[in-house]
Amino acid sequence: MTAEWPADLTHVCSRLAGRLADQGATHPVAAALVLCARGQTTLDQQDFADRFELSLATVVAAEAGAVAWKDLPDIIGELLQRAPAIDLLALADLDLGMRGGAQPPPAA
Amino acid sequence: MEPEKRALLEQHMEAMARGDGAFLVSFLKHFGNEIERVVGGIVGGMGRRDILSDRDEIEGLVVDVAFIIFDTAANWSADGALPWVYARRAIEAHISTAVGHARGGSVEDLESEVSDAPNPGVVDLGVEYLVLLSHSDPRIRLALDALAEAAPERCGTVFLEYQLQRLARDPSPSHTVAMLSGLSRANVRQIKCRVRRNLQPVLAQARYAAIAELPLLVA
Repeated sequence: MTAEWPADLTHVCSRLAGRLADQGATHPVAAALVLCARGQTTLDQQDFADRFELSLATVVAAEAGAVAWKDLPDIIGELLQRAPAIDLLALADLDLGMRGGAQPPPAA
Repeated sequence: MEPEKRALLEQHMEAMARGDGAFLVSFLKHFGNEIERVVGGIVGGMGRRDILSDRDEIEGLVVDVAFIIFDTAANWSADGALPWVYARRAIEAHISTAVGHARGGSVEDLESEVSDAPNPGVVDLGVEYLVLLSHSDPRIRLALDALAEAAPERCGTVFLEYQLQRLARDPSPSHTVAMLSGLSRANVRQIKCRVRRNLQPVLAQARYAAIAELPLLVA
């Protein structure tokens, strides 16, 4: 059986977010979303930043969980929409939960 | 594996060794099918057809395995076995814990086996699957009988693990088995040679004619 992988990014994203939360990231789900977006491109941070006209510092900060979901560059959402499947509503709930319900995430 | 894909694999392993989570996602994208085959083989070997037919379960296990490979990437060598072969013991242990056996040992039994193992990390799961298979495959049962005649149990287990790694195209089975068992590579090779030598007269017996050429024993 040959399938397109990952069939659903939601599970991978939530697992990455859990790890980032354990490492103390302020916005672990947002960081995981950026990792998933970059993972779709198979580019390292520098090439990813160059390709999408972002600063390397922006990419590094976002992947470290220092950037809130609402402040992520638009290209992240665009890349995720090209992914096979991802449940952004479920991840938004996770984001809210991990941040203690401090502020609701914006619609993706 | 084609050179181009091998290069892609090495690129991913290097990035994951640096802790780059984006490459874990990309790794799944490019190598998810390979991992799924490994997962399917292990789950099938455990007799869990119910899990095999559950797409969500399989996808979850594949993601789990990707994380195991991610976590062991720093110790992986590009000169060694493929990552899912290199990490097979950890993968098998995880899957055993996650889904358990349909028959035979329970999860608790497996955990007990880990804690009671003479060498930390040695679980002998690959060989255990062969024992399970032997219930339904008379050739496997015959092979285990022949091996029991040829060698003490512990040596037979090391030999079988070596053969399993070799059949999985591990380019350095003695290295892998040494790492898994806590034995030196030289010990592993000595055991392999001694068991193979002992097997020759055993397999020459008429009752073992059906398995005289079985790759598991003679490859």
